[in-house]
Parts: sequence; structure tokens; C-alpha cells
Amino acid sequence: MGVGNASLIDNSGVAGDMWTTAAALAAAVKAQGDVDLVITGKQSVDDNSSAVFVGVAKKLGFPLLANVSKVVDIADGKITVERLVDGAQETVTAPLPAVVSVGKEINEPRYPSFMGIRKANRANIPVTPLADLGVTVAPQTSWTNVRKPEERKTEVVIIEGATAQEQAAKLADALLAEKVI
Amino acid sequence: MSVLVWIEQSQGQPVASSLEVAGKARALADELGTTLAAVVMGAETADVAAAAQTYGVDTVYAVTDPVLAEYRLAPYAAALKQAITAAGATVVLTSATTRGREVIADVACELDAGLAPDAVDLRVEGGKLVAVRSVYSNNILADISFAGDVQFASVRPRSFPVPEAGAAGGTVETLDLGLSEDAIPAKVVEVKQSDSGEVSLTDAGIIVSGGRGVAADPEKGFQLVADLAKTLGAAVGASRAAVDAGYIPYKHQVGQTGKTVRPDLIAAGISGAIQHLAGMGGSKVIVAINKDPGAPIFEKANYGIVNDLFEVLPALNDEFKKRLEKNGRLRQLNRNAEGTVEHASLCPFFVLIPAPLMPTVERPARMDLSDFGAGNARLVEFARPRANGCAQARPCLPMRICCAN
Repeated sequence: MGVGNASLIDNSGVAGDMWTTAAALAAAVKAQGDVDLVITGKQSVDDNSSAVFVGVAKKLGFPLLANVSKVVDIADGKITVERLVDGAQETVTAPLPAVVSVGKEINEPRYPSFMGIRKANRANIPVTPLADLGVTVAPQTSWTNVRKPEERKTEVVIIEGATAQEQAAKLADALLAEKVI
Repeated sequence: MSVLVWIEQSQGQPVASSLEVAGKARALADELGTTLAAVVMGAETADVAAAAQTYGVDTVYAVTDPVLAEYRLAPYAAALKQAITAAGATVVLTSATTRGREVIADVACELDAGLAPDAVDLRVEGGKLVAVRSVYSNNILADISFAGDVQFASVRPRSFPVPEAGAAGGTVETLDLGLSEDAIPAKVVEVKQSDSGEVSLTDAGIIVSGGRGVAADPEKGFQLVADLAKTLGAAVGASRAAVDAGYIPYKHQVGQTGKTVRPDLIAAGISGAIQHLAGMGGSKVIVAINKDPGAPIFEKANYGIVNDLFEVLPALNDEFKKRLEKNGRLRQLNRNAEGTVEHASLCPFFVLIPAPLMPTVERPARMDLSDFGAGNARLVEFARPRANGCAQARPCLPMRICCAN
């Protein structure tokens, strides 16, 4: 896809929390040397916390621009972005180095090229154990009682009717009677 | 020791979802045998502080500073941190809005304290907070307990009911942020209200949602979805399939990595793929409209219509209009022209009435609004015309929103 080089942090066997992850990522960014821009996603599909990138910015001491939908400009040591916040679209500028978290609107990923795939297969990705990054592991939260939520039990009432209008009329009556609408 | 809630404001009024958190926080504080504090922030805070006082808050900390005029992480996080210190807070809560999630994460990380983001339930156990989180696309629930003394959680909107406003009580204390503009790295260049005239998905009481079933004519399909949504005062949602197909922008996506919704929902032409169902697990009533009687969504729905959405949606719109007009309850929802209606989504039915025509009442008194076709009603919130929202066609009067339930 065009990434020049990658590194993998091995945190297997480490019972950390989101701040452990943030500290590890921040340490890995520092290890890269002179970084101008850190780009992260919006949230993971599994933990859904949307907090790790906030921690990365905090631990690096970089300004954070979250939920970025478009990078407008990078010039004169500054980044200007459009970000989506609770019903508004803001244009914001911040000095580099900075952390931006991006949502789905940011870009349509290109397809990996055949040559790219071959190159990636041969790439050497160094693995750093978490312990080597000097991150202290002191989880502040613990998860218990991990469970499946109760199944939604419903009996669907199929609204019959000769025409759509008739079905719609019956449904409207039913929803008004249930005080949904 | 105290419980602290950030009551966010939008156009001078508290954001509904932060009041939900305040209501729950009051109960938690009582259970912990401690006080409830709230923090309000902005360039102006008098109105939101006064509103906060009617929700059982013991102390409102008002952080008023020009640098808080536009939302930016650094000064807002600094203000929250200051309020935590002032209140001696051990439980800190925000609504899990974009801002609420970001600000609380920043402060929790700085204090190296535990955080439960986007919690769906909160309780007290052994004198400490336990937060319930819904993860893995709402397929797993987990209890989060905290190691340290200061416990942070942001709360998913609509996890708790909005409390009834009561008589104003408690005290307001002002805090001095003492942060100069030079010390804040981010500068806001422009703010565009992107959903003026639309009800936001996360706050909506009702969502009308469209899916791949609109494929025959996506533009018309989503127009029909939007028309019905307008009649019902509902938000417009979409399945991932519809968003991926480019029928409608991503901000409307419900479900996995989109927004999680808990309102009543009318789903049109949605097959009910797992991720959309994941996003609507908390919904009370689900109505499915689909041509395919075998669509999985019918297994989750309370009502189903097996028919073409292009015929059913306009018919539903007609039928609802007829009934709501007859009951004098047609929502006059033109947010653009009439200002903020944050609280309106909490009402089963509501009317907007120009202030000069209103009987003078104190909240939450009930009043007779039969002159306005609303019967007996409860005043829920004041709405103000947005500066840019005074359309030429409508007079720019301050409006009152009345719940006519």
C-alpha cells in the first residue's frame, strides 16, 4: 500500500490497559526520531474506546485533532484540517508535530499493487517487546463478568393489507397506540 | 470526595445527554453518601449554570473564559481538571459525545486514572464505581472496575432518562482558568453547523433508516426516508451497505463503527446484517419494511411490513401526517428557523410556541396549551433562534418548546 517501513510492538502476556497501549505507541513514535504527524484511526471495532489516540497525544505532548475528515493543508510547520464534532464541521489548525485521528471519510484506500504485495512479503518488520520500550504496566481498570448481552426477544407482528396504503394505516395506528410516535 | 459531571452546552443550553448523566450521577452520589458537583464551561456560562442548578446539583463550577468560546481540547481539558481539583472529585462523568469522550480521556490519561469510555450503565459496589461497557459491536458486555481512587467514565447517550428539572438549588462557584490564548496550540478557523435542520442520530428519539433496499433509486429512496423522518421529528439513519454504496454520507451510518442508537426505529429496505442490528440493540420498538419476507431483520423487529419501501414510505408519511394533524400534534420542527431543540427529542409530542404568546410559568409546571392544539403540556426547554437561523419567512422570536404528552 506504500508504507516505507513498519515495526511491531509485542505486548503478548502483558495485562495492561488503554494507557499502557498509549504509552507503548508514544514510545514507539519517539523511537522513530523526528516525527511530524501521527495518524490514528477513530476507534477499534473490538474495544471501541476511542481513547488510545488521546493518550498517545497526551504522552507525546503533541496537540490532538480528532475525528478528522479532511486534511486541508500542511504548510509552514502547521496542519489545517476539517473535523466532525457533534453536528458541526470545524476547520482547525495546529502546529506540528501533531496527532490526528481520522474517520472513514478521510480517504478511499488504493488497491495494493502486485509489486507492492511482493515487496511487503519480503519486508523485514522488527519486533520490539513492550518491556524494551520502558513502559510501566499498571492497569487502572479491570474487566470482570464479561458476558453476552440478553438476546432481544421479539415476536414480530407482520402487518397485512391489500395495499401499501392499508398496511401503512394499520402500522401508524399501532405505533400511535404504543405511544412510540 | 464528590461526583462531578461535565454539563456540556450548545447555544447556551445544556446538552440533553449530559443531563441524563447528571440525573444518574445524582443517584450515584446519594448512594456514595457524597455531593454532586457539575462543571460548565464556555465564554458565557450563566444560562447553562442556571439550568444545571435545576437538576439536583449541589455545586456548579463555572469556568468562564474567552478561550473557551470555541471547543478545543486543551483548554476544555484544563477546565475539567481544575473542576476535579476544586470539587475533590473521585467519580468524574461526561456524556460520550465526541467532545465528552475526548476531554475525559485526556484528563484521565494525564492523571493516569482508570477510564470506562462510552459506558451503558453505572452502579456503586463497595463504595466504588462499576461501569458497564458494551464492546465488540455490542456483542459483549463487561463490568469495568477501577484500581485507583479517581474513577472516570463517559456515558453513551440515552443510557439513562433525562431527569425532571426541579426548583433551582445549590450554589454556583466560579473558577478562573488563567490560560492565555498563546498557550493553546489549536486555533479554530471556521465552524459550520453541518446538521442544521436535521435531528442528530445519537440524540434522536426516533430514527428512520434506509438500506440497500433503496438501490433501485437511491436518491428517491433516501428522500422518502427523510420525508417520513421530518414528519416524525426523527433522524435519518442508514445501514453500512447503503453508506458503502455511496447512497448517503457516513455520518448517517448506524451500527458497527458507526453510531450506536437506542431509540425507536423504522428500518426501510434493510436486510438486517449483523452490524446494523448491533447498532440498534437498545432500541425499544423496531419496525421493518422489506420486500423479502425472509430478511433477518424481521427476527428482531416488533412490526413488519412485507412490501416495497417505495410504496410503503410515502403511504406511511401520509397516514402519520393525517393522524398527527388531526391530533393537533404535527411537529413544527424547523430547527433552522427556530433554534435549538435539544430537549425536544425527549418529548413524545411537542410544539414550538413563540415566547410572547406563552403563559408565564416556572418549569416544570404543567399548563393548558389547548389554544395551540397541544392540550395539557409541560414546558421543557427554552429555544433561541440561532443567529444565522432567522429565515426571512419566519419571525425571529424566542421560542418555547412544550412537551405535550
